Amino acid sequence: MKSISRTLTWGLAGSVILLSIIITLLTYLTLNNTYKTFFNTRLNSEIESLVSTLEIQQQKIVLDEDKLNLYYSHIYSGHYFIISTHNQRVQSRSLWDFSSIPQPQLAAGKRLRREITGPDDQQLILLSQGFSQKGLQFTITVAEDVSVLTHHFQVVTLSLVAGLITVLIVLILLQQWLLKKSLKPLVSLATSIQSLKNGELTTLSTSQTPKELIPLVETINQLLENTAALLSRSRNATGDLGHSLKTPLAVIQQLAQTELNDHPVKSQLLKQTNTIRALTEQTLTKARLAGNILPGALFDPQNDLMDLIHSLDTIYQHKQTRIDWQPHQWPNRLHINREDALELLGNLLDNACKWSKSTVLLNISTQENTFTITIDDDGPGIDDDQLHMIIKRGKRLDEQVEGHGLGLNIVENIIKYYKGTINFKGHHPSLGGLSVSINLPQSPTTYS
Amino acid sequence: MKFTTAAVKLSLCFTCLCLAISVHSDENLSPEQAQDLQKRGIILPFNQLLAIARQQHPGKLLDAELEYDDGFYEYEFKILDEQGIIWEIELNAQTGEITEVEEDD
Repeated sequence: MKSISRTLTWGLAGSVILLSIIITLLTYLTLNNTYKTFFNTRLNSEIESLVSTLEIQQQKIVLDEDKLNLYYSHIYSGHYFIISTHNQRVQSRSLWDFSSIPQPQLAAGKRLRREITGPDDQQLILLSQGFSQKGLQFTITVAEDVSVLTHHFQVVTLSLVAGLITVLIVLILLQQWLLKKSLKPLVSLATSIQSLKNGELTTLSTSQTPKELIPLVETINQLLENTAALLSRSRNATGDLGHSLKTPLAVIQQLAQTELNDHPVKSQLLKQTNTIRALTEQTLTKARLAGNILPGALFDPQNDLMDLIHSLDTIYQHKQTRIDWQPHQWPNRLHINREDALELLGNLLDNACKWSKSTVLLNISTQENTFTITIDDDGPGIDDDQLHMIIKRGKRLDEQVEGHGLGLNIVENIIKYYKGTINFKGHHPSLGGLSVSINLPQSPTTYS
Repeated sequence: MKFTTAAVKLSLCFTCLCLAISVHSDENLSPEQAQDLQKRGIILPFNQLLAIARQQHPGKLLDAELEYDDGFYEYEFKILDEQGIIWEIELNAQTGEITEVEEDD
């Protein structure tokens, strides 16, 4: 998945690392070059000074010892020279017994540069050059110990690398901190949208939002508002249509009953109008279903049931029916729309209160993937043959006949929508009345 | 007088001889001679002797000399130590034995 945070992290870190590597390499190469040039210049001037000191007498090289630099006379001083012809070799006293310095015979004008390990573990830089004077070919090699400088150069290089790595780490940490800080609003927006989905929020807050995101948040809020308005309008319209169809239908049926005594069309007409009535009823219940549409407030049994139970208590005050519920043991939120849950429980509780003598038991429990709502009463209950009828009717809604007083139509529709199941027991084991249990899936699946 | 002359002559000769011997005995050897002696196995390699001297006083080698003295080949090392003291260490170049250590003045 594409992530802004990851792209920025790698992009920024990568460019900083690349830049550091380039700076390190450039600095190293420049230092190295300077160091080599410095020694080349020095060795070159040493060779020139030796050439000016020597004389050729009878095809032999003669050096004036007094004119030589003093360090050529101290043993292992770190400054050495060798001058050689095809049959003569003159070397500085400083070399003493060290004989491993290679001495090439170079043609006049040729130069050769090398590095070797010299006496006393010295790091030597060698420069050899071929000359010709008075017909005599000779080669001069000068050498200088660079151990101290090489060591120093290594220390400087290491410090440079260490310093750059430190700067790199600090820069990357700083970048991470800045990234986290600037991406925070996006993360909190994602959290808000999750809360919106869970039904904990109905609109997104714009107070902490940076101005770049405000158009987005406002658009989402506008859409939510529009959806809610559209939903309510369409529900109302369907409801109104259903209700307004009821009266004309009743009139037609009434007329058919009274005016068409034994007309062959009468039964047909009644059957068709009954179908229209059933379909209207069905559409009405479906229109009352809110379903999984944002902003979808999730059902919070503790708070949302308070009013319902209070009003039921008032309605059935004369029977002294008490609804027994322990909401503190229930889950906080159930994955069912608040309106749908109230519709579902309102119907079932009203029914239970109607038939009960004194007690209605309401309980909600959660299992791994589902939650169960049970409603039991201490009324007369339903015998098995009648119970069979209820279940059958519940399963075949198109045969629904109005007026059985159980309000099971809407209940069935809601449970179907949420892909749940409903079970009836004719007699509750201890209370004796009807026992209804509803199983609904816990996780929000895609509802059809 | 004759005797005196002879004595003078003799003493002169003796002095000359002594001088000749002493000059020979305090002779500083050249790198070529040192290499030759080393090749012939008469003296130990310079490196080895330098290491022995440095065991006594570690430091930077300032200079060295190979001398022939009283029938022995002797190296004299000048070493500058960490404290800035310059040491003169004399070694028997044939055996590697330290014969003299002194602070240079």
